[in-house]
Amino acid sequence: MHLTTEAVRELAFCARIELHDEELPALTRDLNAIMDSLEPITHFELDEVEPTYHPIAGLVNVTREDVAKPCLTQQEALSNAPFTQDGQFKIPPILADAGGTR
Amino acid sequence: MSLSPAEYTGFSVLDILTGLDCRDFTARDVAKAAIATIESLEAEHVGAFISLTPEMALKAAGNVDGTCVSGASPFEAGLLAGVPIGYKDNMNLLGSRTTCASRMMENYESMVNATCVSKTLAAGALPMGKTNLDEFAFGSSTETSAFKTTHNPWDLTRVPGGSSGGSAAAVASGMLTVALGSDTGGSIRQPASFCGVVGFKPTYGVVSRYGVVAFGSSLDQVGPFGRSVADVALTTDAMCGHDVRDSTSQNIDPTYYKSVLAGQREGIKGMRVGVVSEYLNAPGVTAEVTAAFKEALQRVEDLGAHIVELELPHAKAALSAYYVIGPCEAFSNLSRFDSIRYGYCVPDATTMTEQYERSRAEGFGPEVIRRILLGTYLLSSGVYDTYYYPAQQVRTLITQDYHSAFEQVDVLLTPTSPRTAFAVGEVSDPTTMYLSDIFTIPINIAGNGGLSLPIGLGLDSGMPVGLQIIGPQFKDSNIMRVAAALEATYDIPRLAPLVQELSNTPGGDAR
Amino acid sequence: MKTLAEVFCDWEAVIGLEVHTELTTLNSKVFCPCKVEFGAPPNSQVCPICLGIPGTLPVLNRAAIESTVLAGLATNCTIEKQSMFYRKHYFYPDMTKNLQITQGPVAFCMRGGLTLEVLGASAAERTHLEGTQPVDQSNVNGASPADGYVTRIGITRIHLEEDAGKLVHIGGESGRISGADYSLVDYNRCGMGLIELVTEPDLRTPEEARLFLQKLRLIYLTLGISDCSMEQGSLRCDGNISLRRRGTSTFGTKTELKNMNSFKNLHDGLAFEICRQAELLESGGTVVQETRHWEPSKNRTIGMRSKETVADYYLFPDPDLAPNDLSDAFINEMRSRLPELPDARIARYVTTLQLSLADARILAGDIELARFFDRALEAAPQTASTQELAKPLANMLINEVSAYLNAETLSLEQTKLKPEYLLELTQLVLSEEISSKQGKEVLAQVFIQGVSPAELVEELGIKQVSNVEEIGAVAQRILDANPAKVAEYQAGKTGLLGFFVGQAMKATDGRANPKLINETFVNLLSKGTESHG
Repeated sequence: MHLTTEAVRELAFCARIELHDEELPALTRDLNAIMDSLEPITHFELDEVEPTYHPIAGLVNVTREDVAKPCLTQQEALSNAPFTQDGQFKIPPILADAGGTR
Repeated sequence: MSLSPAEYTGFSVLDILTGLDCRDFTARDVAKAAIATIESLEAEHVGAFISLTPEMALKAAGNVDGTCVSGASPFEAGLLAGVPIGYKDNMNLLGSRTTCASRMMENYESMVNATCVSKTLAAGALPMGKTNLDEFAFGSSTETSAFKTTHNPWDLTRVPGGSSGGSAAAVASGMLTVALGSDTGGSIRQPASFCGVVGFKPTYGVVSRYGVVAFGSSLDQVGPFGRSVADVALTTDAMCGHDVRDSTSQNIDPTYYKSVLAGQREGIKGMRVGVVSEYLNAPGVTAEVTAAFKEALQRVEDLGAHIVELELPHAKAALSAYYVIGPCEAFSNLSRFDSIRYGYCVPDATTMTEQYERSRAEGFGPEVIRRILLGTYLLSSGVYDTYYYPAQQVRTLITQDYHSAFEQVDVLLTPTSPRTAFAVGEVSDPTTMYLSDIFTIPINIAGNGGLSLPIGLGLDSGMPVGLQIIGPQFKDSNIMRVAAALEATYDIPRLAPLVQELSNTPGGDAR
Repeated sequence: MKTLAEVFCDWEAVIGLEVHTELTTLNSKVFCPCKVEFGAPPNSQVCPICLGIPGTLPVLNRAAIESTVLAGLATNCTIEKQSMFYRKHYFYPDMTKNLQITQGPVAFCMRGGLTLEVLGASAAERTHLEGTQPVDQSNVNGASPADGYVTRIGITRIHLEEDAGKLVHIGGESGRISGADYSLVDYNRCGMGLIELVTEPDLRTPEEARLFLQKLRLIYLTLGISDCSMEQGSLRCDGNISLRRRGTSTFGTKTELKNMNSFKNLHDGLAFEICRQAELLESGGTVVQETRHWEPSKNRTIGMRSKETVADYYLFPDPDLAPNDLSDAFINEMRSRLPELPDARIARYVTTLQLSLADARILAGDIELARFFDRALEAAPQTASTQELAKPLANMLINEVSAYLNAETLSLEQTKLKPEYLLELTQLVLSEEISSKQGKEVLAQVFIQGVSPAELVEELGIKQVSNVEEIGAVAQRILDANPAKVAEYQAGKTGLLGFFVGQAMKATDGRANPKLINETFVNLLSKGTESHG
């Protein structure tokens, strides 16, 4: 399967990564080269084969007791955040219909 | 009392423990010698570290010395008492930044200790710093680091391999006694091979992944680098076992060093050793690697083990499966880097979408972006059934391959990498780069353990060649035993010649 | 716009609900050990795991599975032993990992359903009864066919997942996302255990939707798995609505309606959306598949931006969590933990305790009242007839207690009334030791003081005088003091009885048993006639 530059542009939006037009052709070429190397996966006879999602066979039911442990302080929680206000994480408007900026 | 860098760089873990026990030197002496060695080698030559933590190391050394002063044996301070250690910079260490070699995390202050970090610290190790890697561990040469190039101590014009290249180079150059790495498709074993040190990826589930920034959650495993099999085994003993914070971690007895002793004392006579001869015909396997590998097989036979020819019919598909599963899990794991709670953030976005898109575009490097986009595509509806689902079916077949192989043999041997370390900048095409991991990747798909053991220098390149020893799932003891026995037959330096040269010509530049 | 009744002449509404319920009664979140309390300062109930700190991993809270399985058993679901958690990806700032851990195609609970009894005014909203049953043929005790109908609402699945954080939008119009200058994020709620129940599109009227949600809420409250507060957001409901012409069977295009944060809003929002769609279709338009927002203050639904709707979730099994494989023993243990559910409680009230269906539904419909009622009955001595006590106890709760709680806007828990006090009070009234009027006064004191009603009656000296001799003596004194009135009475002016009773009440500070004093006067005065005659 091969990707078009338009498809790559759409993928970039889905992954929330800004791409400029001039980056698209090379990136599309790279991705398609990788896609070619994945071809063998489509050639195996796999009809009766169950998938293995996990390398440890028989790993089931790993749970913990419902016991609360101490949380971070608000200050710790916010310590790596680029923008905060009133103990909360501050972000730009979600919709584009206001002129507001920070 | 003090310790010279020349003495220090020759020390094994047991040398340090014994020296402390005999009161030949203190842990602070070790820490100071390590700091001095790093000062002479790091900035000008190797470039193995993203950040250094000398104060933390001295403080930890002080704690070890405190235990020893009270008359106790250093072993009471732990298995790694006074041992300088480095952590790949995708491992969270409180009091340090964890950058993942990415602009995205350049200023990120660790908010937890990774379990492998807290366990080794509890064992008395001295944290010297955080080592360089390919950005988010995506790569095989450490060249995709956003911050620096790490040079192979055996030849500074060459790469150390990757992604845990900083850890491998720091151990090979003697700056660290041991170091930790993470291995998703070969990221411990391949740089160990390139740098001529021992690198071990335990069976998936042996070491907790908690606190190690995830790349491929079903593939990632933490493991150690050292200049001997014993050092690697002792480090594994210090950090293996169940961790309530990682549902996939297992109850593992710390008996790795015990298996090393068994290999050293009892040898491997009668053990069955599997070889896939087809592997030597794989694309890109160089003559010097083939030669070194064959010599190793001869030594194994000389030790009394039986060589068994095997087939792993689905091994080829493992690469495709890996390049499907890896990017899918990576895309998912990297979704959290959204510029809100931590990480790179453009300051002037007018909408949240713009902030996401620009922060991620500017924060992530090209290889990371490639893999995220690939993962996004492979998981999209309609495509999922063509690639992701078959990849997990292939995983079943590969696991079955190994299962039946290990009914016939106790370990499998392959070269660690088809070739020795290449020059910085030599390989730029991603698909060619991916080929350096063809022998290591299948093990991550199946979850087994694998160790890279130095088996001499290539006849053509003069660079280290590594042998990969693979064991059955959760029987890493087989690996340790064979590695220890085989190691004893070689008399090859583990310390790169760079160290000697530099101690002969103080301040000299080996490049 | 047409009214709902007018729309229903030509159109059938097809409604399905998605109900999200926070597992507020757990001690910790679903994948990390943070405690959870409503109203804590922002970002003070978070840890590296629920904050999505790189390198952290989820570990499943066992009690969250238990709550989910209990919900499934109580709603007649099949419990699926084998299931996996999946990662569902979408970028939104209320999510710390930009993925939600949720269950995949197989949820813990699949293919269940609830029977809905739609009675009285609620039933009137449904104009066409195809697919329903008359109430008398079902198990609704004490109902007659005229009371309404019964319909079964299928439940597709109930799955366990993690909740997201909360956004506050600043600037623009009163907290709306649209027009905001910026937003603030609080992740306290992020990672709380959340169960999502999805119904089949079996609901036909907004009233059925409201009743379904009420019934479900009562079941969850009975199970004790959530506080189910729509106001605080621990119970949230979205609706999927489409219309089709009467007599057709294909589904129309649906819209998803959000922000229905009360039972009234659920009803009114759905009703509005049904009418909006009907108007659109009748004027030749088409319904656009979209998410719409109910704005009760403006009585309208508005479409949300298409950018917020996501096409692809890139689902795959979460490699950090082990697959689930529930044992028979576990499922049986959960089954044995099921308490008496609301329908069974109503049936018991009607058949065993002989309450009226209406009273039974009112009592059982309020988990606090029902539990209080049951405990009060349990406190009764073995010798007492529970049936005799049940009716007055129920009355006391439904009338006096509810009225007090409503007036004071208190919950039972916030007062000092105890089940055994209410029982005692009921018995005092029942045995005529105090009048029902006095009963109310005593109750008001018990609410505040939390003392035994018997002691209070003693202390206040308001015990009703029901002693025949004492009453007789009082009556005789009054007759002796008023010979003229006695004579008038005996001459035929029997209306004077009220005067005598009044005098007696005055003499006993109102404590005389009115019934007894009445009888006593009639007796004494008739004796007098005999003797004089």
